[in-house]
Amino acid sequence: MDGEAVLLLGLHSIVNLIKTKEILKKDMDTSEAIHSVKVKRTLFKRKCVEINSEEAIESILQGKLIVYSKEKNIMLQFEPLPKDLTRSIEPPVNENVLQGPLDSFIENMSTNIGIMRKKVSTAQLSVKTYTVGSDQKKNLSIVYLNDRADKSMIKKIISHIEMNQHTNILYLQHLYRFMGMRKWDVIPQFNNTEMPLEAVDGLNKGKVILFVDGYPFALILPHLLWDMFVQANDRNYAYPIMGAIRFLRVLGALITLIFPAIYVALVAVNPEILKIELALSIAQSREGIPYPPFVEITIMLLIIELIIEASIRLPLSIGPTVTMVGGIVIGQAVVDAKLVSNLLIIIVAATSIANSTVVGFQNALILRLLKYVVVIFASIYGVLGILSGLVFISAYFASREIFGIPYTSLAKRRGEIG
Amino acid sequence: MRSIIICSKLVLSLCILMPLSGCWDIKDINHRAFPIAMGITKEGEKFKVLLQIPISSEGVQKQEIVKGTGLTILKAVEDIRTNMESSVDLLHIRIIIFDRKLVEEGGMVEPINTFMRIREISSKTVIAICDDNIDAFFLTLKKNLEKGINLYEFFEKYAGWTPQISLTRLWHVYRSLNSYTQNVAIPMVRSGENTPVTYAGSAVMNKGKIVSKMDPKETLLFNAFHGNSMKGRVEVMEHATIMIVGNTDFHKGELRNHIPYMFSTIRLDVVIQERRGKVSNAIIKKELEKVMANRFDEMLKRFQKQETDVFGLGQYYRNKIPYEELKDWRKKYYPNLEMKLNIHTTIQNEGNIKTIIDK
Amino acid sequence: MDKSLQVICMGLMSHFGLIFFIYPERIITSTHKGHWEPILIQCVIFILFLSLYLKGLSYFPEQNIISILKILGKAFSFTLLFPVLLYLVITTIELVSAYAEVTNIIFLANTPTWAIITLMIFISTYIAVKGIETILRTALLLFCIFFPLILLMLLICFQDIDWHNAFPIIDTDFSFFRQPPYYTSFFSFAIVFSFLGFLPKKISYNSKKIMLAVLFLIPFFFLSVYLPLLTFGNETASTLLFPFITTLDKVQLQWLIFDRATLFFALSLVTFIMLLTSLLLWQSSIIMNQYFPRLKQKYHIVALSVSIFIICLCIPGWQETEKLLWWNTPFRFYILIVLPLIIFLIGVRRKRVS
Repeated sequence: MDGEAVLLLGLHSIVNLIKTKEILKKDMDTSEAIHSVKVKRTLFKRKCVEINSEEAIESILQGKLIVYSKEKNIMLQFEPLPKDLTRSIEPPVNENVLQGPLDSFIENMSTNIGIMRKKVSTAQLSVKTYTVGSDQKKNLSIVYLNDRADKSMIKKIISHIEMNQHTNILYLQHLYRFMGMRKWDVIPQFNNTEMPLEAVDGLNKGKVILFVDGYPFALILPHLLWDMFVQANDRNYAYPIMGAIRFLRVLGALITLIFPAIYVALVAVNPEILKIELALSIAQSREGIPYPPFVEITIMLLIIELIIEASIRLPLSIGPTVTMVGGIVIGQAVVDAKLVSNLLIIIVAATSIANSTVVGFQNALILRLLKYVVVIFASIYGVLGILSGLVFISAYFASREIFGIPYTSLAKRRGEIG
Repeated sequence: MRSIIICSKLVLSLCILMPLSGCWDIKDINHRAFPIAMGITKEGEKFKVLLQIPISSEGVQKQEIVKGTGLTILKAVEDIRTNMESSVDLLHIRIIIFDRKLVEEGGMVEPINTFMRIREISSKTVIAICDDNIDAFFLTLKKNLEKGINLYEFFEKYAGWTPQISLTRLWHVYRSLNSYTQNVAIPMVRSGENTPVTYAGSAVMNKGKIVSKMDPKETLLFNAFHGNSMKGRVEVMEHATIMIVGNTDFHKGELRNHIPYMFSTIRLDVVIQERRGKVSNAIIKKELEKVMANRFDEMLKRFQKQETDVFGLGQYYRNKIPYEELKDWRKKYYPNLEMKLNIHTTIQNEGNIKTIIDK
Repeated sequence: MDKSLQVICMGLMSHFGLIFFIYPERIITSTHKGHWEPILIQCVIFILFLSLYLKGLSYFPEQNIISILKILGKAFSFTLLFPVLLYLVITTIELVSAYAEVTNIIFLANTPTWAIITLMIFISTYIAVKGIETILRTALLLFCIFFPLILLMLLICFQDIDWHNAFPIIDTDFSFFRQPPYYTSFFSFAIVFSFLGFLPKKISYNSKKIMLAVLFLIPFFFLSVYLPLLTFGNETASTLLFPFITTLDKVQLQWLIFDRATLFFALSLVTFIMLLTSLLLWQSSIIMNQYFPRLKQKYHIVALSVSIFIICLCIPGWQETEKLLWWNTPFRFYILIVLPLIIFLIGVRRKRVS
């Protein structure tokens, strides 16, 4: 430039240097002088900004290119052609949709916001972006609809963010603490989803969506009990079918909580409830088993949990083998070896299936954990214990509040919380 | 400070698991024995109790009869409990059979009251009376049961019940012991040659004692009066055999000069199954009505002499007689009751063969 | 925010828990004919005083009972509130011990009573500590889950009814007024809706909806007495301690996989009592917080529940619980009749003054 050499500073891994240089060469005007650049604010017909050395490190980390003139001691920052580091938009991996839109969020936050803008093209859509973190900075965006979202909740969220702007967010747990959630709470404040359809549905109901850079999920705030049973895609079916499917999910949740406990209660404490034929056949199936039903069911539930956990870890080539082994071991051999009664296998299988009918992996995890509470109650008090366990869990759900909105509210729109 | 709170909460929650070790009501289902039938008789001063217990060993169901004696029934059950390797649970008893001699001595009142008081025996249990030796009865029962037939299904409406068997549950008997206006009929059984039981009619009870017997045909009328279906019952007469496919009844009671009058109508829907000779439908109808009416009259007179209100006619007078006098229904009013019974028959069809009658 | 639905659910559920266990036996003992007369009189009294109470509370839209009574001066309000507190505490003790005994008699014969009392008090305290909003929301959730079952069970009980057992139907004697069980049977009415006076201002409700809900409740009172009566007849039903439970027991359901399925129904009623107990604990803690403001409300609740637990352990059996019910009667009438009257009169006077 103007006969002098300048230095281009940038991170090779983030900046596509070759392509950038090509483009620059096309537009290069060697007669341009650096000081005129400062005045004109463009370099090679591209916008640029003068910065000092502290900001330089920051901007290099963020992927910008710096032009440095040693003699004149000027640093100019401008936007290069970035390397393509993100994947393309694919169908969702963790959630399944039948006959609905199949795009899902990806790691790049601006792409996600772009997807949202495309689906909700209204002027009311507000996006606020913050940068949080002390040494590892991340971008955080809040997206909401101006006319529908609850203003007090938005104020609270923003105040939380501003209070904690210097904490690193590496995992969602940090984000939970960020937002003021207590450490030992089972129910998270956000409902995370991969599907834009759900996010849009949440926006229309007045909820607030958080996007974290690098995390391919939309975090919908607040998380409500009803989210367990409702998927936005349901509304793409006919109304009675939607009602039936939602009812099925509620039934599945209740079965998850109650089934193992019913086995323990009816077999150990209150067998008068069973019909005599059933009682006799259960007694027959339990012949020779050396430990009480509570231990039996705990062992089986633990084995199922281990299988589920293992199947997440395994690579695709070994996975099917372990599933087969698990099936044979659990299904056949354990019953033949008289370690467990065969009715129990049915119950545990039914429980696992019913557990997966609820919407949202996190919600299924919550139910998975809570059913043990009911089992413990049932093993001491029988049927009364099952019902008390249900009361206990209902009370726990009812006591949770997220930014002033109770977990059990049925809000179709703001203002109808109850 | 926080960690101390957390640790104490953890310790507390672990303590909750302690009671699990010695839990009170917990008894595994395979360590319990569930008798399904109970027989009661008296030997001298002591009660003898027989329990029929299904036991499954190596996948095969066997029936065991165990006996115990004691001064009261529950003592006899305890006697059995002491000697059995699994805990005996009376929760699933479906039928209780009393020995006839025991009932004739009036020994049924106390056991019924005891069974209603304790929670173990369900109030839906069927009550029956055994006409012959109860030991022999249970022994034959055991032989027949090993073919897989169950005694209580003889009485269940969804299985072997037919309209001439009276179905009485524990709470019916308890109610009739206390009611001013109702009595109950308990089925009598004895062991059969190729079936587990033979039905021998019903015994009519008054204050826990047997006062009369009803044969199966009379029990049918008794059931009809209580609104049970008579469907499927075959009646053989001089000129035809008919099957009853439906019945309804209608009753009205009146009190004039302290004498109760009762007007009842029973409508029967019948199907003709056999015809002998060439008679018209009208004659068949008249025959049927005469047979039924006569049977009923005879029954009523018999029961009036014994002051036993089997048909529950007193129920219709509960709003006509003041409550204090209702206590004496069976003594003062019932013997003077006059009944006018109308039986209307409708012949629904005659089957596949037409009838040609020479007029 | 209109939370009438939650308030109604709470009231309905608590009433259900109270109606079906002890109430039928009291009414059947107190008279032997024309049972609808005592029930009707009780219902009329209840509706009358409840509407007085609601009207009185409506004159003070943002205040709860304690601040209303403060107008009369601190000492006087203390004398007025103290019987209320006493009644709440004694009723809690009664409910917990009575229902633990009931559970023992009917369901779990071998579990010692203290274990059942522990369960009830533990759950009630847990719910009460979380606050009134939790109590109300839990009531709504439980109502949605359990109410269809209860309705189903009630319909099934009509299986073995003989309508003639309802006669004699007119009682000109009114002999039931002379029977003590009649007065103790008021406990099914007195306790529940008093919590309306303690609600904080952010929980608002519509009085008309509440009165409608109470009207919906009235048939259940009749049902709980008449179902056993129609099935068993008066003579037999008066010998039973829990006539309604025995009526449930004898129901024969062929198509269900359970034998004594009505056990579920009866036990769910016991869980409703747990919720009612938590409400009573919460109310008591509000009154106590007024006079001992240094301790936080949570600790009041815990202290109360521990002391109630200890007292319940000292009650040896069913007879003593019945005695307790009888001793509590004057306080019962205080809460049912006197308190609403006072509130109403204060409200009317204030309206006239302003």
